[in-house]
Amino acid sequence: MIETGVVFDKVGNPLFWHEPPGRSGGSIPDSNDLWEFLWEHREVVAGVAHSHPGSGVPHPSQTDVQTFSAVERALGKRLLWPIVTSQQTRFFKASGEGMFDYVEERHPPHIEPRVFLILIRELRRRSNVRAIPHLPRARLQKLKDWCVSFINS
Amino acid sequence: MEPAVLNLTYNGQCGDLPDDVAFDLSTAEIIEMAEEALRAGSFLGIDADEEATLQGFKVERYPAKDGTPNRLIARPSVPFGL
Repeated sequence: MIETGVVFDKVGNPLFWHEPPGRSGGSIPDSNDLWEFLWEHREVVAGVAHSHPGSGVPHPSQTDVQTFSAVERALGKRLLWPIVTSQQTRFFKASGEGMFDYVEERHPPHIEPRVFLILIRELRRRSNVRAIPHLPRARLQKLKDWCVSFINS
Repeated sequence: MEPAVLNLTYNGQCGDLPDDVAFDLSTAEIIEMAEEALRAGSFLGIDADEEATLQGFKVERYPAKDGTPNRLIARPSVPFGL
């Protein structure tokens, strides 16, 4: 897995794939190219999504929220900051309270779900993340029971 | 002292400080100076913001070349992750 970013417009179309040298499974380094793109396209930029390792519930790191806040102060506008794991996507936005307080946005305005789904799939592909199908709890339990009975047999 | 032009992008505006600053100041010193100048409204083209903070900003350094002066560009740092 390798962390990857993407700048998108208000409906969720990708504008700029952020894949700088030096990124890893745990971080994406600072990049003047990303900042220049954000500044030059500030009228149409609506947010920046990036991938996180694993399949769990995405949360922004301290580095992430510092970047979110610094970019918004420089641009003079609020953005959406989705974080994507292999199974989940959560949108974050400034809470409006502390400078580094970011909260989940459950219903991002303007985003077209179908358009954004394509973006997420491509983000996962570029991050070498395989989406793991979600199994309902009952089916998962059935699978576990079968494994246990198979081992014991 | 090598003089340099200090440029900042803040609140959707971009501008230079009219007074030269030393090119070899540390990043922390430049950021602190830019923050004070921003609060005072000293950057040309950027409105004063008395509560401005530049935490999370960095400084790019471009040495003089082909007749252009040394330039210090203060911009947001944009890393993600750990």
